[in-house]
Amino acid sequence: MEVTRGSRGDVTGLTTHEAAATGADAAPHGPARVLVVDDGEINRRLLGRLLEQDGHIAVLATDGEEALAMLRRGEDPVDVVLLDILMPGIDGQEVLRQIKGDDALRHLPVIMISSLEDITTVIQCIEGGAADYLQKPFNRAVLRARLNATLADKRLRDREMEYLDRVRALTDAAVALESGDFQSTELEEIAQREDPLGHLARVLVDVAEEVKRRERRLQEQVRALTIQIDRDEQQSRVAEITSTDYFRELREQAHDLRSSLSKGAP
Amino acid sequence: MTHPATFDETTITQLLVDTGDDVEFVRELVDTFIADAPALLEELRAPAGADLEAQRRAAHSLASNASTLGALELSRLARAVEHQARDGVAPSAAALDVVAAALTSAVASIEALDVWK
Repeated sequence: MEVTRGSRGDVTGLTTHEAAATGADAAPHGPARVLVVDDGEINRRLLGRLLEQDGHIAVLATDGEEALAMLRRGEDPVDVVLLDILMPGIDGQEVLRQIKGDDALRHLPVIMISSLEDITTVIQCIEGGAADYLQKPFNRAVLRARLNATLADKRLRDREMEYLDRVRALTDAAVALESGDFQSTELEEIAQREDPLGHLARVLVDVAEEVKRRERRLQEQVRALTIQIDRDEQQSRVAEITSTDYFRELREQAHDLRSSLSKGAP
Repeated sequence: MTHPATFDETTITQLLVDTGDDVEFVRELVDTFIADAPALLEELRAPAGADLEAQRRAAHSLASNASTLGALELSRLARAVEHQARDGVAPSAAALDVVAAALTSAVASIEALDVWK
């Protein structure tokens, strides 16, 4: 596997011609990591260079096995795959089938590389989940347009997935709030957002804090009431004992005893 | 009757434009083509009963590389061999001689370009 890095981030070091070739519209969706899978050295290197010229990072694989192994390792994930159809070993169509059959990879956009004569296979690949196709010999403007369109879709989908993750976190938080297990720290990140989800997260955190405050206040009131009840109960027991005949007799006897003692005193 | 062009000089010029006037890089691509083509041609000359799928891939690579560098006639001839192999027909020695001649001609045309001077 070979990785070539785009030079768009360092335009000042380029000639005027190179700077023009790496204009701001070359990669409007930002630099992407692009996996180029082609057994042909000339096309592989050329594609790598054209991607690099537009500020992308090209990761080059010489066959389907190497590409699948790299994708499944999941290190430094790529944003899009440029995949040649006719290769020895696992061909492009089979690589596409394996990518689309893998839960961890199936959302990865794949652009097939084909010759004009492969059009039937291209149609089968698009039916099998390929995002687009690119014809050899490469036309730089077409490569750029198709890559950027595919990247735009990918970025949109990434944002939607992130949004759904946040919605899931919020619904989980609502369930946790109901069951009393809510931790406001879990929503800290979402609450920073300036969109409606961020607003909802902040509302949820505020509600949770208000619920906690009310719970604490209620606990304090319950504690105070318990003490009062204990005191009242004590008094009622004393009253109950002192109102008995036996207690009255004892008090009279005590009174008499105190009287006789005070009379007998010198 | 017009004959299809055998070599497109503008292809190499466009490659130079696309790669930021990097003559060294484009020359490396050309050198790779010149170095690899004889081996691909050799694969096409495999004896009868050889792996037609391997022959198809060799013809495909030769056609694809030739097309990338503007060698249109070579690309067309190699593509025809590719289609034959795909259809289960081994290329004839005569057809491969024509491909070999087109390769020699393509290399000469590429080397004669002013961009290397």
